[in-house]
Amino acid sequence: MNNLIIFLIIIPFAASFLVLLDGYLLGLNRSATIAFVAICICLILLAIFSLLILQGKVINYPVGGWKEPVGINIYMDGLAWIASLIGTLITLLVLIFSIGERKYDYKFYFLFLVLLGGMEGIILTGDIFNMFVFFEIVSVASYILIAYPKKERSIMASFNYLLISSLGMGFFLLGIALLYQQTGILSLREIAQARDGVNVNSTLFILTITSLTAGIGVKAAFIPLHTWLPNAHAFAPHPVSAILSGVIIKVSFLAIWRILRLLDIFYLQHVFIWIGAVTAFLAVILAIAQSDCKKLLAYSSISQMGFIIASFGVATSFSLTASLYHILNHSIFKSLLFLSVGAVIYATGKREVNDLAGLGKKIPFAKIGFLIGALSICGIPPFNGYASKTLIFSSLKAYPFARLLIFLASVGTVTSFIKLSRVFRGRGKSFSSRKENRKKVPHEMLIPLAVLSTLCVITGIWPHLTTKVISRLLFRENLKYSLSFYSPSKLGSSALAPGSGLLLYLFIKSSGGEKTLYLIRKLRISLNNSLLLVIVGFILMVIVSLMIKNLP
Amino acid sequence: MPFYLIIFLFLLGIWGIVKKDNLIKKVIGLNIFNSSIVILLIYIGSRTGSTAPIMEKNVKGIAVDPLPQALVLTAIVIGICLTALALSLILKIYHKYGTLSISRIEKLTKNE
Repeated sequence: MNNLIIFLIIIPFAASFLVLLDGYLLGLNRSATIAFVAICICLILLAIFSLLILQGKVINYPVGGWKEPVGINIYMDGLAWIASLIGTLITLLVLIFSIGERKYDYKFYFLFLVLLGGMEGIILTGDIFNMFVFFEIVSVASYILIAYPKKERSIMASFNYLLISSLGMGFFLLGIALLYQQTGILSLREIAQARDGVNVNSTLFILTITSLTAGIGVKAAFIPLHTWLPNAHAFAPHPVSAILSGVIIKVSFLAIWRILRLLDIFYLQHVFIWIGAVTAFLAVILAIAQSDCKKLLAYSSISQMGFIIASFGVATSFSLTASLYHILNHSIFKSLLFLSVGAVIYATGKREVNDLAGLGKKIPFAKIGFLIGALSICGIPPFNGYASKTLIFSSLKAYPFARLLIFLASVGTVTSFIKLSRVFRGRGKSFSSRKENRKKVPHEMLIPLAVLSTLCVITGIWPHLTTKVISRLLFRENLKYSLSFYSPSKLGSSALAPGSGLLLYLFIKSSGGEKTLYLIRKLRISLNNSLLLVIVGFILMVIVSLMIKNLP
Repeated sequence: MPFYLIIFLFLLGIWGIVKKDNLIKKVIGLNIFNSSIVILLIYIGSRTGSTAPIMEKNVKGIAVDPLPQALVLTAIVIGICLTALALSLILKIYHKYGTLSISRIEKLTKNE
C-alpha cells in the first residue's frame, strides 16, 4: 500500500513520455486522452490514500529502499494529501477546459503533465534537495507553457519569469548548501530532529532559513518578490493561468510552510504576518488599477496570497487551519474566475475590461461561474470565501494593524471585482458589429465551470465540517473552535466590506479616481529593478528576522 | 581564501544579472551566480577530507564528502537546461524586437 504513493509522481511523468511518443512517432492524436486517463488514475490513488490519511496515519515510502537520511523519502501526511488532492482535481478540470479550446497540440499536454508531476513531487518529497529539483521541473515546464502562444508579450513575460525565478532558486540552493553545512542532513524530518544540535538563533542559521524562504518566496509571489507574476499569469494561455494562479503559487507556499513548521522557527513566522498584510493591501490597489481582465485577476491572486501568508504567520493551530482553508478556497474560486473570464476572452478575442463590457452576458454559464467566483472572493455568505475570511479575521485578533490592512484589502477586492463584473453586466457598445467575430463556446469548457462553482458552494455552506476536516488533517485531532459563522453579528460585520467596496467603486468611477488609477497603472517596474527587488527583499527579510529574534 | 572567491563570484553574478543591459550578458551573470553556489557546495564537502570518495581497500586517508558532489552534478545539469531555455527565448525575443537591449525592449513595449 505504501509503495503506491510513488505512482503519484511516476504516472504523470510516464504519461508525459507516452504523449511525446504518440505525438512524434505514432501520430494518433491521443495526447489529451492520455493526459486525462493519467490524471484520473492519480485521483483514484488519492481516493485510496484517503482511507489511511483520514485516520490520521502518515504514508511513508523510502525510494529504492534506502532509509533516511541517506535515501530520499516520500511521505504523505494530511497537509500533503489535501494539497495533492486539490492540485490534481483542478488540473483535471483545467485539462477538460483546454480540450474544449481545441488549439493545443501534444507539446502542450506533455508540458502540462510534467507540470503536474513536478507539483506532486514538491508536495510529497521529504528531501529538501529533491524539492529543489522538482521546483526546477515545475519552473521549466511553466516557462515554456507561458511562452506557448509565441506572442511578443508572452515570450517577454516568460523570460522575465525565468530570470527572476532562477535568481530565487539560486538563493534556495544557497540555503540548502548552508543547511547541509550546519546539519549534514538533507532529509526534512531528520533536520527537524537534528535541530536541537544547531544554534537556531545564530546569524548563519537565520541567513540559511531566509535564503530558503526568500528563494521559494519568489514562486509564492509575495511583495516585493511578486514582479514577475502579473505578466506571466496574464499572457499565458487561459488554462495555464488557471493552473499557475490556482495551484502552483500555493504549492510553492506550502513548501515554505513545511520547512518553517518542521524547523519550528517562530520568530521568522511572525515576519510573515507583516509580509502578508502588506502584500494583501498593496496588491489589491494595483489590481483595482488594471484595465486588462487577466492582469486584474493576477494581482488579485497576489493579494489573496497575502491573506493566506498573514494568517500563516500567526502560527496558532486556529490560524493555520484558517490559512489552509483559504488556500483551498482560493484554489477553487481563482481557477473558476480565470476559466470563466478565459471563456469570454476565447469567445470574443478581446481582453480589456472596457472593450469587453457587456459581452459576457451572452455566455450564461461563464456569467454564473464568474458570479459565484466573485461572490466567493469578496467574502459574501454563504460562499466559501466568507467562511475562510471570517476565520482569518478572527485569527488576526492580536494584531490590530495587520487586521486593518487585511480588512482594507478585502474592501479593495470587492471594488476590483465590481470593476471586473462590467464584463458581464450592462449593455455592450456596438455589440452587433462584433457578432461575426464571436466563437461558440464548446461544452467541454463549461463542465469545469459547473464543477468548480458547485465546489465553491459546498465548501461554503458547511464551514464547520470543512474546518473540522482540515484541522483533523493538519493536527490529527478534532479541534473545536467556538465560532459561529452565521450569527447575526458576524453577518452584519461581513456586510461592512462589500458596502465600503461599493463606495470605493463609485469613487474610482469619478474622473479624479480614473486619473489616479491611470497613474498607478503606468507605474512599471523594469526587469532590472525587479531583479534588484529580489535582492532587496532578501536583505530586508534577513534584517527584520535578526531584529525580531532579539525581541522577547 | 576559497571562501572570499566564492563571495566575489556570488556578488559578481548578482551584479551581472541585475545591472547588465544585454540579455545574453544577464544569462552569463546567472551562470556565474549559479557557479558560485556550486563551488560553495563543493567547498563545504571538501573540508572533511582530502582523497576521492572511492570504496576500495587500498585507498588511504579520509575521503571528502561525496553527497555535495552528487548534488552539484544535478544542479549543474539544471543550470544547463535553464541556460539553453533562456537562450532560445532570447533568440525569439531578438526575432520579434530586433534588439537584445532590455532597456530598448522596455521602451518599445511601453505603450502597450
